[in-house]
Amino acid sequence: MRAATSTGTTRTLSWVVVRAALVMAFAAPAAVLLDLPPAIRFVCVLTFILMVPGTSIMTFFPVDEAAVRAGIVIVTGMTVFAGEAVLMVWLNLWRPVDGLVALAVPCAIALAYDVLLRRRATGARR
Amino acid sequence: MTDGLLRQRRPHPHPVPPQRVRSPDRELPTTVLATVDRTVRGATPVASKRAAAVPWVLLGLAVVSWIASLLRSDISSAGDFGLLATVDPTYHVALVLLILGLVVELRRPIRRSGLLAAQVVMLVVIIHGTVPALSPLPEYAWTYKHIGVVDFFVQHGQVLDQRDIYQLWPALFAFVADLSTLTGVDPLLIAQWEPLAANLIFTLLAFAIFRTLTTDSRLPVIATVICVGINLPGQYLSPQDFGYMLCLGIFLVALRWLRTAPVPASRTVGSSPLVKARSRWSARVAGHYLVRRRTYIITLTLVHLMFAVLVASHQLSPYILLMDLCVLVLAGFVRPWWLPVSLTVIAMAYFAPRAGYIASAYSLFDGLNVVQNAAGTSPAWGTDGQAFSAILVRTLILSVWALALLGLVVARRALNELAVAGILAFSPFFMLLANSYGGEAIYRVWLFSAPWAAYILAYSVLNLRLPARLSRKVPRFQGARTVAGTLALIVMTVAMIQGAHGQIEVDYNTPSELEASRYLYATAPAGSTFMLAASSFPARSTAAYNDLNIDYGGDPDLINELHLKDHATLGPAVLPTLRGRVAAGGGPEQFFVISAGMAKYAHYFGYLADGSLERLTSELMASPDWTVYHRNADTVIFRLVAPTGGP
Repeated sequence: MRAATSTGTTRTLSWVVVRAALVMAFAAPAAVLLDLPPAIRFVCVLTFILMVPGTSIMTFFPVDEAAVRAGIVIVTGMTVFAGEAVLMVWLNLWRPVDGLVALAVPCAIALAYDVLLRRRATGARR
Repeated sequence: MTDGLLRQRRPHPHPVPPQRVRSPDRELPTTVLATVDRTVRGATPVASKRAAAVPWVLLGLAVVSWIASLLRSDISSAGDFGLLATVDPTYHVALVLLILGLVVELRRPIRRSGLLAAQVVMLVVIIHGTVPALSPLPEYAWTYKHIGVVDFFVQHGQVLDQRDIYQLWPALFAFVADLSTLTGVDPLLIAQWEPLAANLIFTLLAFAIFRTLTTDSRLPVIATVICVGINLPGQYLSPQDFGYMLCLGIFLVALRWLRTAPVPASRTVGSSPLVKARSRWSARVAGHYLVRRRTYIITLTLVHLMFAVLVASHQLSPYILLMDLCVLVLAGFVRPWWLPVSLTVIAMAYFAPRAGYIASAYSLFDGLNVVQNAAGTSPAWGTDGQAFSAILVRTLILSVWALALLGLVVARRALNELAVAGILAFSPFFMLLANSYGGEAIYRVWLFSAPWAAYILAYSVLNLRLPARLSRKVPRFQGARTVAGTLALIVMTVAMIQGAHGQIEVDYNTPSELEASRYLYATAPAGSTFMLAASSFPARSTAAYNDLNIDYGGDPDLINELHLKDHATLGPAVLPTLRGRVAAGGGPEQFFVISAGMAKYAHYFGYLADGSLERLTSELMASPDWTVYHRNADTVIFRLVAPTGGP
């Protein structure tokens, strides 16, 4: 059922996006934990925010249309990140690095599960 | 599989009602078009290939021209007519070339989505990336108040002051503080480039929303281009920008996944035009979307999550959104019926604990005086430059609203295409019934109305036809329409840029002003007070923003305190008055701040005669009551020597 009406292009794109999001789910926390230069950390964390939470949620209801998917992914990511930040502020638990890792773990699990399912589906078709 | 679908969301057996086909791509899905495009491109003759290269060439020239304009422009010496009169002419060339390229590409029978995307992105970059690229600091003095709150959360990581409205609605500030802490990037740099980033996201969301409203592949692109050209969001790092983005996200989810099911045409016979429009819209636009129950639940949850963050971000945006959603639900375009109710509960739950303070410090209801509530923040114009910018923007806004209304009237027989946009373009006006929002309500109305007005305009342009008897008399009507549309787009874009950056001489902040501001917060004893000569100063830009002038009402300034206007002159009598006002602030020490930016502000808005603040500076330096506390290239901070107690 998933992406049943999608074209080859959008399916490939979706593959790339999901895999890139999975990589970023590890790369962003790693860049922060390794205390890489600010520019690299900024690119990694910003890409994480704009891509990872949204893509992991979108694995539950894929959308074929690239613009709609990109819009939802970005807004969802910013919503989740802002929600987490404001919770840290309200609960007096201001630990951004822990927050990033806490956000990355479930996202990585969801994305890895999706990649696994896709691989199985691809294998079954072959 | 059918069991997994909500019953009422099954596709209508006749999802596309019979209608006049106006363009070949209306019937073809994008994927088919792409295939045809590739096929055609592979077989085009040399002349066609050259024609196809024109938009690319125009885009390349626009990019080169824009970069050249950056290298040859200096906005630190901008005059009364703002950015457009200050930048190198190559900037205007870039803008025109880009819009021409867009129009040429849109005129092609088969359009290249990658090129169109690049052109739209470049348009956003030219409009919103120029000032950040040419400025050493974020634009607008009031941006720095927000940077101070971000800095506060970076340092303290919690809400410490329940009477600070920024800490009461902290979502954006916590977001940026989190990002800054994780990356080590200065919030100033984030704020400087926020307008470009925010507008890129707005543009993407607007395009995605427009895609859900129509099956015509040209309409979303043209609507997006008009929207980029006329809208004024994303000017600075602010909760309203963040809130606007979340609102667009909620609209996207609601219009994509939460729309009502199509009603069979047989059941709408004799129904009102709105019911017919709703039915046709759902069937035509949404007929092929199958929403599974799981998707429906997830998207509903997503809407509530976005809204929860929205209510923690901005005071006003959630209520405008609620109003829009209410109208859409009542008109039957969006479901479920209880969506506005549940969102209202969230909004009220957030607002209730803060209502007491807000009611005591701010006005919640300004009366039913729509005209007064719609009045902007500038009752009079002090310079020709200000008058030019204000008249241009007002003309733009009123013209767009008038044309959108006209477009709705003309297209009344095709309301299935325009009903949603029509409702959302004009429902924000209800906000004017309640509140002026400190003179900004009309801007909020425009902000929320503009994308939908842009959609209506785009639809009207695409579907503009002459009656048969006239079309014979005007054989080149299509060409004339294209030329007129291009010119209108250029004029609208220029008017919007003038509105956003027409007062760049005032909004341009120098590093030395920021240095002086931060010096004051770093060295003045906590609880001290200061007065500004004019409100245009990057104050409150550090975490210690509430250590000075602790009254939560903003920093007092001489122009407002003494109600100075009409190019007033500051005579010798002003010194004792100033001394008294500054001393009345109390606290361990009292300060008075004058900067070069304030002199420009006083000139631009016509509050003071030119040279007044320079003379005041000289007089204060000569006065025994004042000492120079800090001085740099652009700013002088005076400290009141005489003890507190008034004149």
